[in-house]
Amino acid sequence: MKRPIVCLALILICLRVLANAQTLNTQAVVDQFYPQRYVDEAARLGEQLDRVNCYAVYQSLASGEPQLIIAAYPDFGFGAVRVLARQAPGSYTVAFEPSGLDLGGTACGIELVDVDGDGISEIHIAFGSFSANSADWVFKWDGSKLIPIGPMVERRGVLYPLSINGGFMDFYHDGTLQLVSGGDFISVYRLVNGKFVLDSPVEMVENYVRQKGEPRTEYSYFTLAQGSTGPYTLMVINGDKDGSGRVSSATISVNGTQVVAPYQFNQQVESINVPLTALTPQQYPVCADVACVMVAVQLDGKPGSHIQVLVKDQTPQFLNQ
Amino acid sequence: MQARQFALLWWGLTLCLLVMWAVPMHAGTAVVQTAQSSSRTITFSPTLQNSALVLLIETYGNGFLGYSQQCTDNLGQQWVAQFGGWGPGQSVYIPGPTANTAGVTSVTCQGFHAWYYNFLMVFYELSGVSSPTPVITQDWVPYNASGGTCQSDPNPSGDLTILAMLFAYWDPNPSALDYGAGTIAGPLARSDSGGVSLVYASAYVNSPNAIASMSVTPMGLTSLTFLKVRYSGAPLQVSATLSDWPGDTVNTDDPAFASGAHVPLGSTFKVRLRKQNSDGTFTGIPASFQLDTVAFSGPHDTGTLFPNNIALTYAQPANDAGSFQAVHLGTARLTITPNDTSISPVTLSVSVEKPLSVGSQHPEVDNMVISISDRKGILPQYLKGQMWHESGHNFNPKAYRYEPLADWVGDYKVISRGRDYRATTRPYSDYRMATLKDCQDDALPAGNLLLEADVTPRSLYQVCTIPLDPQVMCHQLSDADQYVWAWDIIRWNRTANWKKWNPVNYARVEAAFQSGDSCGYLWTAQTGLAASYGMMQVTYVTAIDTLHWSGTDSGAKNPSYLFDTAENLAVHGGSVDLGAEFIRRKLQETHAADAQNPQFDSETDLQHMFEDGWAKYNKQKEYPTWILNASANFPPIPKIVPVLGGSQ
Repeated sequence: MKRPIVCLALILICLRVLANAQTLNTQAVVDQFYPQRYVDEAARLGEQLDRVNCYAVYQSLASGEPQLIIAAYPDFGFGAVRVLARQAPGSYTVAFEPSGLDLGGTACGIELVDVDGDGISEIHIAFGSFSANSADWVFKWDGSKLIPIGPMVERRGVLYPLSINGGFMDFYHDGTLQLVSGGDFISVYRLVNGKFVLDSPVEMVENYVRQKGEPRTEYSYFTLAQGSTGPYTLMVINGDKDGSGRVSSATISVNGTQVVAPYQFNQQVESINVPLTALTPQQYPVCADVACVMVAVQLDGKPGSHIQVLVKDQTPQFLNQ
Repeated sequence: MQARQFALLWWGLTLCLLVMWAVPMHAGTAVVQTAQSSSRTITFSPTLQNSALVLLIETYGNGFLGYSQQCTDNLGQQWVAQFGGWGPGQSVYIPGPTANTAGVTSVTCQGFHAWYYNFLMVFYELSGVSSPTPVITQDWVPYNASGGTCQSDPNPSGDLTILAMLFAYWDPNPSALDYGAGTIAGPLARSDSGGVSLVYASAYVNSPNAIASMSVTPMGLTSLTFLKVRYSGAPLQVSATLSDWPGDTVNTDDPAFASGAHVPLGSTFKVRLRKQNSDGTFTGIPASFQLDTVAFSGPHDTGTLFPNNIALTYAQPANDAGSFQAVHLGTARLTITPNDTSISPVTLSVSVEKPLSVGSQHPEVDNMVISISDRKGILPQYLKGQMWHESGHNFNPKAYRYEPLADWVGDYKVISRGRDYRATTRPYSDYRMATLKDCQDDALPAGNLLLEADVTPRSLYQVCTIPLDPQVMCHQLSDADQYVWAWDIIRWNRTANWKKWNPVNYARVEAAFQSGDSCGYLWTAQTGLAASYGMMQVTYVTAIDTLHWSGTDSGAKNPSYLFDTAENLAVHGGSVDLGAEFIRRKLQETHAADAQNPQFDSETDLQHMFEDGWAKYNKQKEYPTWILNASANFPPIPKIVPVLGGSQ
């Protein structure tokens, strides 16, 4: 009885070792392609070189050996993204490196996310800045090059990303993900013809889950972004994309005024949109000296069911930014 | 050779010698020689301190006359004869070795022989010589040698300049030529009781920086050759104008011109060269403008921007004007070279000095701003504008913000989760607050170097009790609050807007809270390590990981030392130097060419360069515009206007 267990343990250990070796090898490959100009520049300026990088394995062989690696190299002022392609066992080359983009920063992170629902991952690369904000690049790999599909603005011939501190959420359940960017107001970008374009500024995104026990009211608060004039729309997403987790009844009030009534919910309702009028911030203790808006939500139904509530802000000035 | 020809050749050779130590010369605006039988007086505008003064005299008639004159200036100082043997009737006089050379307005010489028929006095004032007492040698080509040409360049690498020389010529029987016809520019004829004296207020050489010839044909003679003589002739006018301030115009022979232009650090200024027309109006002189001979007055950081410039030279806004922007404290020489080579170049000293203030708000930070700006090559208005923005528009030295959710510098991804710096990495672990056991680590004691000052900033935030919502009971955090959960700070401080700035991370933490996943939302807030500080809002992680902050003079790296208090600044803490350092490094990397040898057409180009730096400081797309707009509120204010003369 002990022998199979020991064998299994040995196999697991071997797999673990192999996995670690895989990781180490990939890191070594990424390190190998650290841009030489950073090294030269640091030497010229007599400054410390940190060799910061991050990567994700985009495609692998059946053996597990990386076939295509997406690597990012932030270096303070500079930055590069390189697609490293396997040529032979242990041998890689730079297959593609985008140019004309404001890449770089103090740190980086890469995640692979299928944002358009085609079963193929897109690449989200975030570069940290000196301050607490990071910039988001979203690329699509077309087999030969990385195509930036995130929101961007051109300035003097260079493309800069518009999304900061961003990530992906699913508000519309249409098979695509939305890019959600932070800021004075939240910006929700939606895929249109393969590119992320601004869908709406948002003042609040909040998730509510029906807890066990008696239904109880949960309170959320938000301040309006400076210059906000509206109009505003409250959007409710009921449950998950596959129809699970929906609530059958809920009450939503804004500043004490009911805006969504229980009868508007049932298991077939996927989303609700309600215009909000007279959205005037008020004084609440939790907001201290700042006027804010209170949203009160009470969910009924099965514990674990949930809704997501957005307050969209169609202030013209925000839409034009 | 006729006597006149011979005499003027002699003057030319003498000038050759003067050139050997000649430097910019201040010249009087008028010279009047009063004809007397045995006494001559030459008058001029007051001489300056430390000038070298020389008077050359020649009398000639039926043969050259002796040199037994006695010369005394208006201050009663006896002048000393030099080299009386130069030639018949020729002599050189200088003030005595202890004489005062400032404020001299005339020299009177007596003892001239009565029967001369021509008389010539030439007065030189040379400013900037190493010694007010000139050294004159007789090492010139004998006057009977061919051409009277100086044999060698006495200072081949230097920039010898004679800006003006003043002739007083008296002829009891003037001829038409004596009135200045020919190639001597701008002679002024005067009459006096003794006859006519001609004041050649300008003569010139027409090939600056080279061997040039000067024809003095009114005297009916010869070509004389000078080395590197620049001769500007009549005083020109130079105007210097600071942006947003009244202009200032002086003559090149004005003492205010000699003291140079004084501009505040960060200012833009224009310099224009012009000349007076015969009708009294002025015309701009097309010219090129070049700054060189730079001397810095303060130390610079390694890798400072614009290491060779006290001011940037922009594209000329007009063909007679130069445009500049002061970027470092110090001095430089501005050479204005007219396109018309018959007009000699004009040199102007430019001093970049500390402004009275940088804008009118919050002058208490100006010394720090000016010092850091000068060291790093960042315009003070840019730096102060960024400080204003980052500090919440009030230059709060203790500006502070906890960052629970920020990706690369916050509690959620770096300090207490993710990299778990609080437990794994120094110096973070030295300055952490004590924690409760959580899914990631056992309870951790407070870091052994933690100070109370690292903890107290969190009193900015409140925590509240539920379920009395919306009438919750809240209190500001105090030292009595131990083991405060980050989630409690996040949820009860809505106006901090973390969920707007980091909506995805907020959603993750909130989801963990709602699902009861304690690992996803329960950790003890490290409000010291995961925070930004001071007027530049430098995050602790950035200071340590990115800028490799060396801490205070004692090596302490407590987060609270990043506040810009006087106490912290005294031990080289604070955020402003670090924040500015990031901008400097970023621009040195990505704009290396312009950072070393700036080639900007205008301040707009410079602004574009800095916008790139600000865009890396904060990725928010509006950030560069915000900083640029803010900097407009903090223009460098000059201590003194006008800029020509005086001092900042």
